[in-house]
Amino acid sequence: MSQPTEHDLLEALDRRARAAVDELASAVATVPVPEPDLAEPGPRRPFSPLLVAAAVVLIALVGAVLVRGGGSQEDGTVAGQPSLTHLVLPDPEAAGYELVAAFDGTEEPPAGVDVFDLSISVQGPVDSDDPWATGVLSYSLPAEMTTLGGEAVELGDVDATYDDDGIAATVGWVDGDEVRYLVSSRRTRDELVDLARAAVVEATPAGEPLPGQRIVFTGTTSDVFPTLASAIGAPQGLRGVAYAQLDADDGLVVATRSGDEARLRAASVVAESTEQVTVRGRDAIVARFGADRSLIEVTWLEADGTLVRAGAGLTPDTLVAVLDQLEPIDDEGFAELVRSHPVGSGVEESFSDSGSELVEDGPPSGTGFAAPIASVELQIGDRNHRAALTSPADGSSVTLEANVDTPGGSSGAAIDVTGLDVEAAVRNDLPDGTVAVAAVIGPHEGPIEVRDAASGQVVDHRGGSLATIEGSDHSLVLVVVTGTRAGQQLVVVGTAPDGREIRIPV
Amino acid sequence: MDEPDDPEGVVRDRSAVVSIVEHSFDAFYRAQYRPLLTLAWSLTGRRDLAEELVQDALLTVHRRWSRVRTYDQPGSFARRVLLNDATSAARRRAAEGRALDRLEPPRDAVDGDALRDPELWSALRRLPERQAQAVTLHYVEDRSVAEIADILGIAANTVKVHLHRGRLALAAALRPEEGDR
Repeated sequence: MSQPTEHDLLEALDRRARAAVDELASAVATVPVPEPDLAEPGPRRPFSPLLVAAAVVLIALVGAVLVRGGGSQEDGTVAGQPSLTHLVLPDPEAAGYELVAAFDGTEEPPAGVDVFDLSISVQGPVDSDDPWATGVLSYSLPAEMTTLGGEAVELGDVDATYDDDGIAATVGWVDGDEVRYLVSSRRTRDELVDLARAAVVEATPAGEPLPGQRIVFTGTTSDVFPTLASAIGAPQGLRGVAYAQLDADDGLVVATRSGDEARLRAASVVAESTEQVTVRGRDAIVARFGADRSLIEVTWLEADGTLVRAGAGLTPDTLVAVLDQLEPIDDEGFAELVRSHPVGSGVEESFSDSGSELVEDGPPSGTGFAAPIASVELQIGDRNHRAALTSPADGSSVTLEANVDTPGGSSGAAIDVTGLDVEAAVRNDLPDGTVAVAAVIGPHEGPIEVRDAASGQVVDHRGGSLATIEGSDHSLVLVVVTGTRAGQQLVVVGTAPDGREIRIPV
Repeated sequence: MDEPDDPEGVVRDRSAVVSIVEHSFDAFYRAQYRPLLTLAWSLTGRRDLAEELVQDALLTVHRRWSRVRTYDQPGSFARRVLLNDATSAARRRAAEGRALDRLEPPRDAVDGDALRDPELWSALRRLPERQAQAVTLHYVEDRSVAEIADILGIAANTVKVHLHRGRLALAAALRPEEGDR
């Protein structure tokens, strides 16, 4: 009997798949559509360093993880940063990879506390010739951000636990409104607990040398956690590219930052084991993370001082072979990659229209806009930024408002637009530089933008919305602008059907 | 009072305008629930998990509705959220050692959970994630390469690679043994 051809196999597969899908669709058709359950879930479980460490070895495919990760990467640039080498695969597909993201953590610091930007120190014995060999990672977290886990240990009159998740051993204890942690993959349980106990007894402040130890490195968690995990948050100072393998559930992250010998050593301080290799003609350290050593990271210093960290779930030989294909690109090329392959909030951003554009479907129609009107309200975001155009019942006036909920209630600004038949705008400024801009704009085509009045540059925004005003050819617009300076003048800009530029100062 | 389905429509009094977003999202929710459930069910093999994923994805969409509603294809956004959530959920389950073999119907599966031709669905879920996502969108939703590229946020050529390799791998996995033919 002749062997079926590839075509035969695919045809058979198509038939079989379509039959299975039909059956699945029939099953789904019997499922009632429940009422929307839009209640927000409860507070997320506070993270512990163990969860973070565990995540390190569980992240297999970089792409989807990066897409889901936090950290805004809009408009990333490298302007003003020290010139460092950017390394990329010149032909990812030939190497079996797909570029999924480029990240630039050299932008402005994100708001709040990020797990990968926590201050840490690495400490080793004061009398050791190589304190790194038994280095201990020390850091603390606000108590509300974490929970102690593992077996209870006695450190004195404090709540304390010890845990070993197979990646690194951790001792944690409550210290006022913080939880202190010591993490090490190179000290025994007793050594680590004894060190923590000494710190408790001697009331060693966080950030100070632990009893009998000296600080050999200070930095952030992104310096010591493997890059494959760190890149999720695009931590400060770290920039690079992330690839997904085309034929396997694995990823590759190549990240760079300014470096030195201490930072090179710090990159493997929580590794299970290390070894020396050569990459791009440079001495490099291969660090294996996790009890099964399944996560590999290679770290080296380029000639210009750039620290390169490349992580993947590959064997060292395979990883080094891929890394030897890396080639530098210039700042401009890297900035373009960041723009074209955003990370973090990329799910939403990649679906949105460019800039702060709002596009209305179809040409506007109607003539003029005047009281009385049907009220219109737009709403954006968790803080309920709102734009409203309202009329009292007697239709005697029309008010344009920009409002936002605040912890103490709400704040807003309003102007009277009674009888107005052209355009108007009002803004509501918040202390953090967020501005809700509400505008009424006449007949227009194409996008509506909010620009800096002085420079004409489109400003950053968090969202935009638009609604037509019944019985008129005008529209109500709401744009939530972010990152404004005190006193910064804005202008809402659109294009009239005759090509005239509409400008509404606000 | 007439309330338009159009999310950018107009309502006539202030007491009603605050719910304009919810009204338009509601229509989206009802239109998308079952298609998303089909997708999630095929990717997880479990109706209960699929329903959770769909609810989570739609909650995410709801949070961002004022923006998502302006997209050309809000449904594509919902699908990308769903696929990412499904990927993360699968990893989480594996990581926590709690679940289970995705390839088999769970022991506590609800009635009617198991689908016909489990071999095919299991083989599909064993594909590398990107291939599984591309192939699932191709078969379950009959999506074009361009649409899959839009949903997954990757280049159309890359989708072609994933689709081709995924279908070949699936065909090979389902190929009858010599003795069966």
